[in-house]
Amino acid sequence: MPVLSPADAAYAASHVYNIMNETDVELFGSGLNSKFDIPSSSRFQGTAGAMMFKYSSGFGLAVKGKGPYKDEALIMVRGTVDFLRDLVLTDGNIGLKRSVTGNTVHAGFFNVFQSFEDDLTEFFRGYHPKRVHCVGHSLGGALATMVAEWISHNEVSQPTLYTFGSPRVGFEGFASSLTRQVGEESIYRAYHRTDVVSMVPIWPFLHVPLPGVECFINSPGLVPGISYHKMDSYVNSVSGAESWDSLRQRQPDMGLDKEVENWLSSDSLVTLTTNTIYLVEQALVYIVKKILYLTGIAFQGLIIGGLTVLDRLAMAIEKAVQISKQIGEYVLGLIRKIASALGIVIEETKNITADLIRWILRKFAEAVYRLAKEALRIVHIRI
Amino acid sequence: MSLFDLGKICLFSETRGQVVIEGKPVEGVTVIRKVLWQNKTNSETAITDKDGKFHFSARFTNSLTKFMPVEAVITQNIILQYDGQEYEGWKTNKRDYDENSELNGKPIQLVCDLKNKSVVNEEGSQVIKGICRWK
Repeated sequence: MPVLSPADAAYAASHVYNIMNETDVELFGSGLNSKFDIPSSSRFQGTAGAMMFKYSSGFGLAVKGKGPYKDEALIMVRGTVDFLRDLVLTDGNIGLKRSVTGNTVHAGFFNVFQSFEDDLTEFFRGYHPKRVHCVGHSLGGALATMVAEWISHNEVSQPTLYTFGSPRVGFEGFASSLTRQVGEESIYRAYHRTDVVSMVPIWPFLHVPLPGVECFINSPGLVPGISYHKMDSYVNSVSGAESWDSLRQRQPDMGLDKEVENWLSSDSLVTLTTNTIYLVEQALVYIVKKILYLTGIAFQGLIIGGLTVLDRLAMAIEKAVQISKQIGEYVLGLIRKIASALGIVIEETKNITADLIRWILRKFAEAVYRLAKEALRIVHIRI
Repeated sequence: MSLFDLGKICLFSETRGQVVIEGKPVEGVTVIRKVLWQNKTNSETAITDKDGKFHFSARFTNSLTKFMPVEAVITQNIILQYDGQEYEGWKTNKRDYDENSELNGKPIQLVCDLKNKSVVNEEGSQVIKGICRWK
């Protein structure tokens, strides 16, 4: 049973963007023509975004294999602009939903998946390939992950999953159950060390395979950013790889953590730049990891009782601060950094309450939201 | 780089072209250059001169999107209208925000023979379809 080569998977993940606005599937390119038939009927649409931004466009291609891939299918899903709103612009109140297997997943991702679920049903009606290759970059990676779950859960076929710079899709239950269903060896998650998207949403969202070894690609730079999120940079990183096996490796434990520690304990003032936004997120991940390590407080049951992720996070941090002085210092460091970025003066406090944590995180999220909304306003006026 | 270049995005690079029929210049062809990005479209029109030539300046916008983790997908079209017929000259998705990224850094200089067949060309992640050709 052949696996898509890293170069072919990257080609698919990159070129599927070409059918976003264009219905002409010839714009996908001819790179996979000897392996898959790509008729115009293979394009499926999806709906992304919330409220007034909601719009429908090409989301992917579902195609049948030939030659060495006879009896196999390939589902390619693209990322989206609206993904930004779901992840970066979220005010921390990430909505949660139950996936097709009943596990907790990001509601925004799941809504997009559901918008093309009927097309998947239609494509696989009376068609049972031996294997389905699911490929995607960015949000497309998250969606390909949900497609793999759907294929496995509905006993359509056996999926193999390939993602590039995918965000986290669901909680531990989702990640571990999907890994069990699909098999660790059939999940290839490629990501750059400094790709910010692969760092969100923050814990308790977890990556697949769980447990398992990902395809970690070391990328230069000190802070997480966006240049190593671009699909082109993934194409460059994996195209020379002979096989996925040569790419499989865990992220070394050091690195960003040290940078975040230094950043949190430094007195330097910061402004609200993209880097600050990402460092704040990274610091949150770091603090949450530290909490787990030092106090064993797990953030379980986040979906219960109408509390948001932000509420639960704030409560858990408050509890951890009471237990560990070290965490208290990191949290205080983070609060100071956010306040500095937002130009807010806060009184020196030794009392870190859940209310304060929630308030400052919300203020931060609102500022990011405003920034991004401004970006969208500019886009709409200028073009 | 000035402040005004912050977040500068090239939606369509400068486009020079010539419309011909079997090598002979065609005057009076309506050339429509369209761009679609982030759900907004823009359209410009030019008419070919006696040498069959047309020209569009580069089109830019400014957006913080450039700094967001968003893949660049700018959909471009050049449509040629002549003698009641419509021809698809150029159809692609610009996959980078830089100027002249359409042809890997080369400026766009097209020759569009209305007798040409529409073909698909690939340059990296850039896939271009239409009757226009370039060097």
